[in-house]
Amino acid sequence: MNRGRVAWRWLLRRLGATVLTLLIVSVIVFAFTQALPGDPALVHAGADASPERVEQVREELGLDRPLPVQYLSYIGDVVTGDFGVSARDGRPVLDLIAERLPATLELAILSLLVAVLIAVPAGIFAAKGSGRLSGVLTSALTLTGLSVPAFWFAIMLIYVFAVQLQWFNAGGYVPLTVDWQANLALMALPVVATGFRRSAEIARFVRSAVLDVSTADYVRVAEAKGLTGRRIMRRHILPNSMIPVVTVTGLQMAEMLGGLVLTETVFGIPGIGRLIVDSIFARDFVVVQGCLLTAAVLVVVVNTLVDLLYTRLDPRITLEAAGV
Amino acid sequence: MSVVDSRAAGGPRSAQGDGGPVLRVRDLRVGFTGNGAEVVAADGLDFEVRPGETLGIVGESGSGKSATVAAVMGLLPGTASVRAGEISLLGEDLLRVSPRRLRQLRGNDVAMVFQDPMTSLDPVMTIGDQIGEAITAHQHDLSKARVRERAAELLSLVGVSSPERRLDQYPHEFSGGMRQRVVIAMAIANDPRLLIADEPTTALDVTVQAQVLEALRAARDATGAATILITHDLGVVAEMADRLVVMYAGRIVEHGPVREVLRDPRHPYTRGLLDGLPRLDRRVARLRPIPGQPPDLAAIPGACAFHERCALSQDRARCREERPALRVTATGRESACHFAEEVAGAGAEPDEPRTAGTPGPVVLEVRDLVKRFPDRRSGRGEVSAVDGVSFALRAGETLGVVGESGCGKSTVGRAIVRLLEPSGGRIVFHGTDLTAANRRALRAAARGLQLVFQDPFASLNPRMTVRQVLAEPLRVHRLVTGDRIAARVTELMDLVRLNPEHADRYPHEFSGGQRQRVAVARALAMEPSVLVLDEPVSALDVSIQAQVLNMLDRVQRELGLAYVFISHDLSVVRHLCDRIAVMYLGRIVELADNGELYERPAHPYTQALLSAVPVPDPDQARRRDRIILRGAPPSPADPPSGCRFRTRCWRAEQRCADETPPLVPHGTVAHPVACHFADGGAPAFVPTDDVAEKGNL
Repeated sequence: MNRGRVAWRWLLRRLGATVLTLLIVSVIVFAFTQALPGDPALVHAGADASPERVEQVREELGLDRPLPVQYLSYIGDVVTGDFGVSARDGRPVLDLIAERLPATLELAILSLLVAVLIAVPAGIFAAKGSGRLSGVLTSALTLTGLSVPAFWFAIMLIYVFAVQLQWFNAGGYVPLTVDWQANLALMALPVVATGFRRSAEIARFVRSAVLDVSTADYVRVAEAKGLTGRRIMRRHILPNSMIPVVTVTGLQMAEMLGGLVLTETVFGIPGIGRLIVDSIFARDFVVVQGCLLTAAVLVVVVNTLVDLLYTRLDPRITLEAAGV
Repeated sequence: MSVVDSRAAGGPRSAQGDGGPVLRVRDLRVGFTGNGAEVVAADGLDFEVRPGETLGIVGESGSGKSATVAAVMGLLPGTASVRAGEISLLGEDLLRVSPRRLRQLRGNDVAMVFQDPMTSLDPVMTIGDQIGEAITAHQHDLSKARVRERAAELLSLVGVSSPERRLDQYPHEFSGGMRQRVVIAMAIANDPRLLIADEPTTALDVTVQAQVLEALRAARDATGAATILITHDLGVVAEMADRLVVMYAGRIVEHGPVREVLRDPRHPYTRGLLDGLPRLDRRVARLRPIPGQPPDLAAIPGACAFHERCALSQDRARCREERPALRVTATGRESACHFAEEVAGAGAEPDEPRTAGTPGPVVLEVRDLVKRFPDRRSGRGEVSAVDGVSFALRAGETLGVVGESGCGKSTVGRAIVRLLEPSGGRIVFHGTDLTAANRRALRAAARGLQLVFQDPFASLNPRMTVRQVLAEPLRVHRLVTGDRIAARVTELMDLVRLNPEHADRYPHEFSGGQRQRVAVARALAMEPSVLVLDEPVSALDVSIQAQVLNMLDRVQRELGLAYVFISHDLSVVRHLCDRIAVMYLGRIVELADNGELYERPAHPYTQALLSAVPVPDPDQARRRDRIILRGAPPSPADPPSGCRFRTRCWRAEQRCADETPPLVPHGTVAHPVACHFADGGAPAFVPTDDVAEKGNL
């Protein structure tokens, strides 16, 4: 079979699986928001509305219908691109998400970039020093990175670089499209805070993968060829260590898409994380549902990209054999 | 490029001494530190290799042969180091040069071929890049196009066809034999003066081994390099080496021209190795194994390391007290034995011919067995691992099932004991059709059919003592109860010649051979009538292998068992089996009595197999006409039509593609053969360039 057809088949199967995933997520999200305490009709109508008014709103919103009917009508709307309107300000949920998503995506991508840039050298260093002081120290440092709470680290960064040294602003956000220099200056501290924290876990994977590959026969063969240690690391050990590292990096990306709440809060960045938290407190479930579905889509997209990346990293992995 | 650059980059080649040795090793001692104790891997080694010659180093695991060449390459693992001695390559002392100089020498003046071709190549780099890198590590001024050209040259030198195209492929697109050729191509990329091959064909099938040895010969001839060939296979050295070093427990025990050492060994260990070796060219009643186990390398006696296992020592004080040095004997040979002159010559004890037992009634019948697996590689379709295999097995007889990897022999074994559900056919055991039996009948019957696996390390639960391993089946099947269990465990251990006092030890406290005895005892605990032995001695060293084979032989005679003996080793099968089924790509191609098969093989594949097995007799090895098959067996996912062997057969005609040859006797051939051309007696071998070649050594 030619490559093009294989790729199409794979993509189709992948799409089917994605739809299924999203359906399951939507059911969970829907059930979850139903189970939360608080009455959306009350929120819509206002705190001092009469009971009749609340009932009227409930009817208008369709909240008096049986749950399966509510779910089906919700899914029908979502499929046609209608995520509903926010209970708080009446704006379409999709607009809210579109407004908040770029900040979160930028933060996540830049943080991961920083994390990988720290993790790969640190992991190699730790592996090379395995059994020696330098290795123990690097491992201890990554362990520290894992155990220090991210928000505390963020606050420390603000204290040192924004308050004391005044190199950066302590918080705020300017969209990338408006002024990229201002955007990056404001992003620097949150990106470093998140990236450093994230690098710890990746570094530990790099270390164990490098240690593992270093004992491979083909590394001995490379030594027997008379290659330098540097070249062996660059051409043989690192490329073969990348699969587990890409896997964990992909997972981190997925985790971050919903988990940047703390960073966004500490640095005052208007992202998806904060939107979710604010909406939960405001009982604005329609928005919460929209955000969670969006996050699910992104996670699936990231996973697909990771799978495609595998086929680039290792010629033995093909779309044909990859399954779904 | 300036002179300085060239030094920094490739480095100058070492000056060639005038006909002097390429490598000279003097009084080499290599030690490991393990658990705080000093383990001596090699001790007091002296040898040299001259240009163009091949030195064979043989020895069993733990003899120090691999540690020795790792020391020469400067590739000892971190826990090991050269403790004393001198290694000089073309006059340069390798133990005193800088790491940088050592790197310049590695891959340039001295190169190495490793054991396992499946793991020796980087899976994510193209073959062309890997060979190219071996070239450019020492020749920096070559253009990219020139490097590629040279890589293709090297590939075609070692017998890889369409090298240009294959340069862009990855290792997983190559078979094991092809990969080993690539490793050889990398090793000779810079015309090394010394080529070291460490068990280069151990991981390969016998017909592929013949191809790779051919490639190694071509590589040696093209470079004129001195070669060190490390192996445990005396047949391989007989074919390849000029001189032979025999190592035991880190020491050289014998050294001499390969022909003399193998024909007339001057050390009791070498004699013992040869006597314990099942051979393709003759069949003896009983192998004469070396008794006991190799010594613990952490506590090698100051005396002769071999004296406890030696047939000659007879506990003489000198063997116990004085370490024998490698000395020249009265007949001008080199041996490290105080009593080298007393070592018996070949054929000192005449071998009585092996007597065949009288076969009993049929206990197991396999009819048209088929096993298909879903094709995991493509995710679609099926792989037919076994395609219509039939045979009958009588009480007291041993049926050998031989073939190369992927021929389906293990699948047959597993299907018989119902570890795998057959896709078709019948398995009739003592009159019960197991494929149609209900669960209860199957359970009862299954007890009578037992399997012993290849790897005694993996097949025993490490957390159970031998007593628990043996008692478990007794309890589960309520074969014996209560106090009788302990007695039965003792009986079983006696049967396989294990010391019953060791019943409370764990598997890791036993050696490989002893563990295999435990595995056999466990199978015997079920009181089976048929034992399926799947490569039971393949993981064992030669001296231990002979012990286990003799034990299996004795147990069979004592209990009247029938064996299905699955093996890739034609010499072992020749020794042990009464009848032999040769399998190729899921089918039996020939089924004959032992003498008939080995003396008058009728199927071209059987002929090729037998001709590819190295015999530990240099005169025979070099005189024989060899059939070297091209290529590797096709994928069982897409087998050739008609005769499955036709794509590699030198006799193939159109008819072979159109008609599947039935497994029946043909004319003068009284036993079943699946070949259209079998009727005229053994078909003459006609070499054609594109299918097979005849190598006259």
